[in-house]
Amino acid sequence: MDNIINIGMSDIAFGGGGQIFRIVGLGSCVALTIYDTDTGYSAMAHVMLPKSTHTVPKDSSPGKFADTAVNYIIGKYISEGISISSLRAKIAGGSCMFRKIEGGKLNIGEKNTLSIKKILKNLNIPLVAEDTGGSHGRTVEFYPDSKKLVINSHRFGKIII
Amino acid sequence: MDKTQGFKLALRDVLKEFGNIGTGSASYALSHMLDRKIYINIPSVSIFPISEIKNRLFPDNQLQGALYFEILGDADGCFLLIFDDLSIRGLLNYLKGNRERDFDQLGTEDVSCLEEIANIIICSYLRGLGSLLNIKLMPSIPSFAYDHIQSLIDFAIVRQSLSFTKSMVIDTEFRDNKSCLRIRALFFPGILLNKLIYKKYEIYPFING
Repeated sequence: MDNIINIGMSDIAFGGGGQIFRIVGLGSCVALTIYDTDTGYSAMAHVMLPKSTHTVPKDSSPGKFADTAVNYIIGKYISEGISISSLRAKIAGGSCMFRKIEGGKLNIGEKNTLSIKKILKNLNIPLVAEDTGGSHGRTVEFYPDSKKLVINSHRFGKIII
Repeated sequence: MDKTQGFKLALRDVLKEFGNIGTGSASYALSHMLDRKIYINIPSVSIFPISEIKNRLFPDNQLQGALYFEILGDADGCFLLIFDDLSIRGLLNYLKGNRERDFDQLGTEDVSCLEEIANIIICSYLRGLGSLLNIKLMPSIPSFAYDHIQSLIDFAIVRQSLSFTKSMVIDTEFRDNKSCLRIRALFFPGILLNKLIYKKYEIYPFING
Protein backbone atom coordinates (compact mmCIF):
# COMPACT_ATOMS: atom_id res chain seq x y z
CA MET A 1 0.00 0.00 0.00
CA ASP A 2 1.44 3.33 -1.09
CA ASN A 3 0.27 5.24 1.98
CA ILE A 4 2.19 3.07 4.50
CA ILE A 5 5.47 4.56 5.64
CA ASN A 6 7.76 1.91 7.16
CA ILE A 7 10.17 3.41 9.66
CA GLY A 8 13.49 1.62 10.20
CA MET A 9 15.78 1.82 13.20
CA SER A 10 16.94 5.40 13.90
CA ASP A 11 14.61 6.84 11.26
CA ILE A 12 12.04 9.62 11.61
CA ALA A 13 9.07 10.16 9.30
CA PHE A 14 6.70 13.10 8.91
CA GLY A 15 3.29 13.10 7.30
CA GLY A 16 -0.40 13.68 7.64
CA GLY A 17 -3.86 12.48 6.77
CA GLY A 18 -4.23 9.40 4.64
CA GLN A 19 -0.86 8.05 5.65
CA ILE A 20 0.03 5.26 8.09
CA PHE A 21 3.31 5.15 9.98
CA ARG A 22 4.51 1.63 10.72
CA ILE A 23 7.32 0.14 12.80
CA VAL A 24 7.77 -3.64 12.67
CA GLY A 25 9.63 -5.65 15.31
CA LEU A 26 10.00 -3.31 18.28
CA GLY A 27 12.04 -4.82 21.11
CA SER A 28 14.08 -2.45 23.27
CA CYS A 29 13.39 0.39 20.86
CA VAL A 30 10.55 2.86 21.37
CA ALA A 31 8.13 4.16 18.76
CA LEU A 32 7.76 7.86 19.55
CA THR A 33 4.83 9.67 17.97
CA ILE A 34 4.37 13.43 18.27
CA TYR A 35 1.41 14.96 16.47
CA ASP A 36 -0.24 18.35 16.10
CA THR A 37 -3.79 18.33 17.42
CA ASP A 38 -4.77 21.26 15.18
CA THR A 39 -3.51 20.14 11.75
CA GLY A 40 -2.99 16.40 12.25
CA TYR A 41 0.56 16.76 10.96
CA SER A 42 2.48 13.95 12.64
CA ALA A 43 5.91 12.50 13.20
CA MET A 44 7.11 9.08 14.28
CA ALA A 45 10.62 8.15 15.35
CA HIS A 46 12.15 4.70 15.87
CA VAL A 47 14.30 5.47 18.92
CA MET A 48 17.10 3.03 19.83
CA LEU A 49 18.92 4.62 22.77
CA PRO A 50 18.09 7.00 25.61
CA LYS A 51 20.72 9.69 25.20
CA SER A 52 23.30 10.92 22.74
CA THR A 53 26.86 11.65 23.87
CA HIS A 54 29.76 13.69 22.58
CA THR A 55 31.16 10.54 20.98
CA VAL A 56 28.21 10.13 18.63
CA PRO A 57 29.42 9.88 15.01
CA LYS A 58 28.53 12.88 12.86
CA ASP A 59 26.54 10.75 10.43
CA SER A 60 24.30 9.32 13.17
CA SER A 61 20.64 9.66 12.35
CA PRO A 62 18.80 12.04 14.74
CA GLY A 63 16.18 9.37 15.34
CA LYS A 64 18.68 7.05 17.01
CA PHE A 65 18.62 8.79 20.39
CA ALA A 66 15.65 10.02 22.43
CA ASP A 67 17.03 13.53 22.90
CA THR A 68 18.10 14.09 19.30
CA ALA A 69 14.85 12.57 18.00
CA VAL A 70 12.64 14.91 20.02
CA ASN A 71 14.82 17.92 19.22
CA TYR A 72 14.69 17.15 15.52
CA ILE A 73 10.93 16.69 15.49
CA ILE A 74 10.26 19.84 17.50
CA GLY A 75 12.65 21.81 15.31
CA LYS A 76 10.78 20.68 12.22
CA TYR A 77 7.42 21.61 13.72
CA ILE A 78 8.65 25.06 14.73
CA SER A 79 10.04 25.66 11.25
CA GLU A 80 6.60 24.78 9.87
CA GLY A 81 4.99 27.36 12.17
CA ILE A 82 3.40 24.76 14.46
CA SER A 83 3.11 25.69 18.12
CA ILE A 84 4.49 23.32 20.74
CA SER A 85 1.37 23.92 22.84
CA SER A 86 -0.72 22.02 20.30
CA LEU A 87 1.52 18.95 20.28
CA ARG A 88 0.74 15.63 21.94
CA ALA A 89 2.70 12.39 22.19
CA LYS A 90 2.10 8.63 22.29
CA ILE A 91 4.76 5.95 22.76
CA ALA A 92 5.06 2.16 22.53
CA GLY A 93 7.84 -0.38 22.94
CA GLY A 94 10.73 -0.40 25.37
CA SER A 95 10.60 -4.12 26.18
CA CYS A 96 13.20 -6.33 27.74
CA MET A 97 13.18 -9.31 25.37
CA PHE A 98 15.81 -11.35 27.22
CA ARG A 99 15.25 -10.86 30.93
CA LYS A 100 18.18 -13.00 32.14
CA ILE A 101 20.60 -10.58 30.49
CA GLU A 102 19.26 -7.35 31.99
CA GLY A 103 17.30 -8.60 34.95
CA GLY A 104 17.57 -6.80 38.26
CA LYS A 105 18.58 -3.45 36.84
CA LEU A 106 17.07 -0.85 34.56
CA ASN A 107 17.17 -2.30 31.08
CA ILE A 108 17.70 -0.36 27.85
CA GLY A 109 14.01 -0.51 26.97
CA GLU A 110 13.07 1.07 30.31
CA LYS A 111 15.83 3.65 29.95
CA ASN A 112 14.53 4.60 26.51
CA THR A 113 11.01 5.03 27.87
CA LEU A 114 12.06 7.06 30.90
CA SER A 115 14.32 9.29 28.82
CA ILE A 116 11.55 10.09 26.35
CA LYS A 117 9.08 10.81 29.14
CA LYS A 118 11.52 13.16 30.86
CA ILE A 119 12.27 15.07 27.68
CA LEU A 120 8.58 15.45 26.82
CA LYS A 121 7.81 16.63 30.33
CA ASN A 122 10.57 19.24 30.16
CA LEU A 123 9.06 20.56 26.92
CA ASN A 124 5.50 20.49 28.34
CA ILE A 125 4.34 18.08 25.63
CA PRO A 126 1.63 15.87 27.18
CA LEU A 127 2.13 12.12 26.83
CA VAL A 128 -1.47 11.10 26.29
CA ALA A 129 -1.01 7.33 25.96
CA GLU A 130 1.63 4.61 26.18
CA ASP A 131 2.05 0.85 25.84
CA THR A 132 5.55 0.16 27.09
CA GLY A 133 7.60 -2.34 29.03
CA GLY A 134 7.08 -6.04 29.42
CA SER A 135 9.10 -8.69 27.60
CA HIS A 136 7.19 -9.00 24.35
CA GLY A 137 7.78 -7.70 20.85
CA ARG A 138 5.47 -5.18 19.22
CA THR A 139 4.54 -3.95 15.77
CA VAL A 140 2.93 -0.51 15.77
CA GLU A 141 0.97 1.63 13.35
CA PHE A 142 0.00 5.28 13.80
CA TYR A 143 -2.91 6.81 11.93
CA PRO A 144 -2.62 10.63 11.72
CA ASP A 145 -6.28 10.91 10.68
CA SER A 146 -7.61 9.41 13.89
CA LYS A 147 -4.43 9.86 15.96
CA LYS A 148 -4.78 6.24 17.03
CA LEU A 149 -1.75 4.14 17.81
CA VAL A 150 -2.39 0.45 17.07
CA ILE A 151 -0.08 -2.07 18.71
CA ASN A 152 0.08 -5.75 17.75
CA SER A 153 1.93 -8.37 19.75
CA HIS A 154 2.09 -12.16 19.86
CA ARG A 155 1.27 -12.15 23.56
CA PHE A 156 -1.56 -9.62 23.80
CA GLY A 157 -3.00 -9.35 20.28
CA LYS A 158 -4.20 -5.92 19.16
CA ILE A 159 -4.26 -2.90 21.47
CA ILE A 160 -5.43 0.56 20.40
CA ILE A 161 -4.41 3.64 22.35
CA MET B 1 46.15 -7.23 -6.85
CA ASP B 2 44.75 -3.94 -5.59
CA LYS B 3 43.99 -3.26 -1.95
CA THR B 4 40.28 -3.78 -2.37
CA GLN B 5 40.73 -7.21 -3.90
CA GLY B 6 43.34 -8.11 -1.34
CA PHE B 7 40.99 -7.03 1.41
CA LYS B 8 38.15 -9.14 0.03
CA LEU B 9 40.32 -12.25 -0.13
CA ALA B 10 41.61 -11.69 3.39
CA LEU B 11 38.05 -11.16 4.57
CA ARG B 12 36.86 -14.37 2.96
CA ASP B 13 39.63 -16.33 4.65
CA VAL B 14 38.83 -14.77 8.01
CA LEU B 15 35.16 -15.60 7.64
CA LYS B 16 35.94 -19.13 6.63
CA GLU B 17 38.16 -19.64 9.65
CA PHE B 18 35.66 -18.12 12.09
CA GLY B 19 32.79 -20.17 10.80
CA ASN B 20 34.47 -23.46 10.08
CA ILE B 21 36.66 -23.82 13.13
CA GLY B 22 33.78 -22.97 15.44
CA THR B 23 31.21 -25.32 14.04
CA GLY B 24 33.64 -28.24 13.62
CA SER B 25 34.28 -28.42 17.36
CA ALA B 26 30.58 -27.83 18.02
CA SER B 27 29.61 -31.00 16.19
CA TYR B 28 32.15 -32.97 18.23
CA ALA B 29 30.71 -31.62 21.50
CA LEU B 30 27.13 -32.23 20.38
CA SER B 31 27.98 -35.79 19.40
CA HIS B 32 29.16 -36.37 22.96
CA MET B 33 26.09 -34.80 24.53
CA LEU B 34 23.57 -36.53 22.29
CA ASP B 35 25.52 -39.78 22.19
CA ARG B 36 25.26 -40.05 18.43
CA LYS B 37 27.28 -39.11 15.40
CA ILE B 38 26.52 -35.56 14.36
CA TYR B 39 27.44 -34.35 10.88
CA ILE B 40 27.70 -30.74 9.83
CA ASN B 41 27.49 -29.07 6.49
CA ILE B 42 30.01 -26.47 5.44
CA PRO B 43 28.62 -23.39 7.15
CA SER B 44 27.52 -20.43 5.16
CA VAL B 45 29.20 -17.31 6.51
CA SER B 46 28.42 -13.81 5.36
CA ILE B 47 28.47 -10.22 6.47
CA PHE B 48 25.37 -8.08 6.41
CA PRO B 49 24.83 -4.41 7.14
CA ILE B 50 23.04 -4.31 10.47
CA SER B 51 20.42 -1.97 8.99
CA GLU B 52 19.43 -4.69 6.51
CA ILE B 53 19.41 -7.79 8.70
CA LYS B 54 15.79 -7.61 9.82
CA ASN B 55 14.19 -7.04 6.44
CA ARG B 56 16.55 -9.05 4.23
CA LEU B 57 16.95 -12.15 6.38
CA PHE B 58 13.63 -12.20 8.23
CA PRO B 59 11.15 -10.28 6.08
CA ASP B 60 8.13 -12.24 7.33
CA ASN B 61 8.94 -11.49 10.97
CA GLN B 62 7.82 -14.98 12.00
CA LEU B 63 7.61 -16.31 15.52
CA GLN B 64 10.91 -18.02 16.35
CA GLY B 65 12.93 -19.14 19.34
CA ALA B 66 16.30 -17.56 20.01
CA LEU B 67 19.04 -17.64 22.61
CA TYR B 68 21.05 -14.54 23.40
CA PHE B 69 24.63 -14.64 24.69
CA GLU B 70 27.09 -11.87 25.48
CA ILE B 71 30.81 -12.41 24.94
CA LEU B 72 32.93 -12.25 28.08
CA GLY B 73 36.67 -12.44 28.65
CA ASP B 74 39.30 -10.68 26.53
CA ALA B 75 36.82 -9.11 24.08
CA ASP B 76 33.19 -8.04 23.70
CA GLY B 77 30.14 -8.51 21.53
CA CYS B 78 27.12 -10.80 21.45
CA PHE B 79 25.54 -13.75 19.65
CA LEU B 80 21.94 -14.49 18.85
CA LEU B 81 21.26 -18.14 18.04
CA ILE B 82 18.05 -18.64 16.13
CA PHE B 83 16.44 -22.04 15.82
CA ASP B 84 13.79 -22.87 13.28
CA ASP B 85 10.60 -24.52 14.55
CA LEU B 86 11.24 -27.97 13.14
CA SER B 87 14.74 -28.15 14.56
CA ILE B 88 13.66 -27.35 18.08
CA ARG B 89 10.74 -29.73 18.03
CA GLY B 90 12.96 -32.48 16.64
CA LEU B 91 15.64 -31.83 19.21
CA LEU B 92 13.27 -31.85 22.16
CA ASN B 93 11.50 -34.91 20.84
CA TYR B 94 14.79 -36.75 20.80
CA LEU B 95 16.08 -35.47 24.12
CA LYS B 96 12.93 -35.80 26.14
CA GLY B 97 10.54 -37.89 24.10
CA ASN B 98 8.05 -35.00 23.96
CA ARG B 99 5.32 -34.87 21.40
CA GLU B 100 5.40 -31.85 19.13
CA ARG B 101 4.25 -28.76 20.99
CA ASP B 102 4.07 -25.04 20.42
CA PHE B 103 6.95 -23.05 21.80
CA ASP B 104 4.75 -21.10 24.12
CA GLN B 105 4.15 -24.31 26.02
CA LEU B 106 7.82 -24.93 26.68
CA GLY B 107 8.55 -25.47 30.34
CA THR B 108 11.70 -24.45 32.19
CA GLU B 109 13.18 -27.90 31.69
CA ASP B 110 12.67 -27.66 27.92
CA VAL B 111 14.33 -24.26 27.85
CA SER B 112 17.24 -25.60 29.92
CA CYS B 113 17.81 -28.30 27.31
CA LEU B 114 17.91 -25.75 24.54
CA GLU B 115 20.23 -23.51 26.54
CA GLU B 116 22.63 -26.38 27.06
CA ILE B 117 22.71 -27.20 23.34
CA ALA B 118 23.18 -23.54 22.46
CA ASN B 119 25.92 -23.20 25.06
CA ILE B 120 27.89 -26.02 23.44
CA ILE B 121 27.62 -24.37 20.04
CA ILE B 122 28.53 -20.89 21.30
CA CYS B 123 31.47 -22.17 23.38
CA SER B 124 32.82 -23.84 20.26
CA TYR B 125 32.41 -20.66 18.20
CA LEU B 126 34.20 -18.64 20.89
CA ARG B 127 37.00 -21.20 21.26
CA GLY B 128 37.58 -20.99 17.53
CA LEU B 129 37.47 -17.20 17.49
CA GLY B 130 39.72 -17.02 20.52
CA SER B 131 42.29 -19.36 18.99
CA LEU B 132 42.49 -17.20 15.87
CA LEU B 133 43.13 -14.06 17.90
CA ASN B 134 45.12 -15.70 20.75
CA ILE B 135 42.65 -14.52 23.36
CA LYS B 136 40.26 -16.14 25.83
CA LEU B 137 36.56 -15.79 25.24
CA MET B 138 33.58 -17.26 27.06
CA PRO B 139 29.82 -16.87 26.85
CA SER B 140 27.50 -15.26 29.38
CA ILE B 141 24.57 -17.16 30.84
CA PRO B 142 22.16 -17.67 27.95
CA SER B 143 18.71 -16.16 27.81
CA PHE B 144 15.86 -17.69 25.76
CA ALA B 145 12.91 -15.93 24.22
CA TYR B 146 10.18 -16.84 21.75
CA ASP B 147 8.60 -13.97 19.86
CA HIS B 148 8.50 -12.26 16.48
CA ILE B 149 12.08 -12.58 15.32
CA GLN B 150 12.59 -8.93 14.34
CA SER B 151 11.87 -7.89 17.94
CA LEU B 152 14.44 -10.36 19.24
CA ILE B 153 17.03 -9.07 16.79
CA ASP B 154 16.11 -5.50 17.77
CA PHE B 155 17.33 -6.29 21.29
CA ALA B 156 20.72 -7.57 20.11
CA ILE B 157 21.26 -4.63 17.75
CA VAL B 158 20.49 -2.09 20.46
CA ARG B 159 22.90 -3.80 22.88
CA GLN B 160 25.73 -3.30 20.36
CA SER B 161 24.41 -0.23 18.64
CA LEU B 162 27.30 2.07 19.45
CA SER B 163 29.78 -0.31 17.88
CA PHE B 164 29.73 -1.05 14.19
CA THR B 165 27.57 -1.12 11.13
CA LYS B 166 27.88 -4.76 10.10
CA SER B 167 27.44 -8.17 11.64
CA MET B 168 28.26 -11.75 10.70
CA VAL B 169 25.65 -14.37 9.87
CA ILE B 170 26.61 -18.04 10.25
CA ASP B 171 24.15 -20.63 8.92
CA THR B 172 24.83 -24.23 9.92
CA GLU B 173 23.09 -27.56 9.67
CA PHE B 174 23.83 -30.28 12.19
CA ARG B 175 22.34 -33.63 11.25
CA ASP B 176 22.28 -37.26 12.27
CA ASN B 177 20.60 -40.17 10.49
CA LYS B 178 17.08 -39.07 11.36
CA SER B 179 16.86 -35.34 11.88
CA CYS B 180 18.40 -32.01 11.06
CA LEU B 181 19.11 -29.03 13.32
CA ARG B 182 19.27 -25.71 11.50
CA ILE B 183 20.79 -22.81 13.36
CA ARG B 184 21.35 -19.28 12.24
CA ALA B 185 23.83 -17.38 14.41
CA LEU B 186 23.98 -13.59 14.29
CA PHE B 187 27.31 -12.34 15.59
CA PHE B 188 27.61 -8.69 16.66
CA PRO B 189 31.21 -7.76 17.51
CA GLY B 190 32.13 -5.23 20.16
CA ILE B 191 34.64 -2.40 19.93
CA LEU B 192 37.49 -4.33 21.56
CA LEU B 193 36.95 -7.42 19.43
CA ASN B 194 37.02 -5.38 16.26
CA LYS B 195 40.33 -3.79 17.31
CA LEU B 196 41.82 -7.23 17.96
CA ILE B 197 40.72 -8.44 14.52
CA TYR B 198 42.37 -5.40 12.96
CA LYS B 199 45.54 -5.97 14.96
CA LYS B 200 45.96 -9.44 13.46
CA TYR B 201 44.40 -9.11 10.03
CA GLU B 202 44.70 -5.38 9.35
CA ILE B 203 41.07 -5.22 8.27
CA TYR B 204 37.90 -3.90 9.88
CA PRO B 205 35.29 -6.32 8.49
CA PHE B 206 32.46 -4.84 10.50
CA ILE B 207 32.72 -1.22 9.45
CA ASN B 208 31.44 0.31 6.24
CA GLY B 209 34.03 0.91 3.54
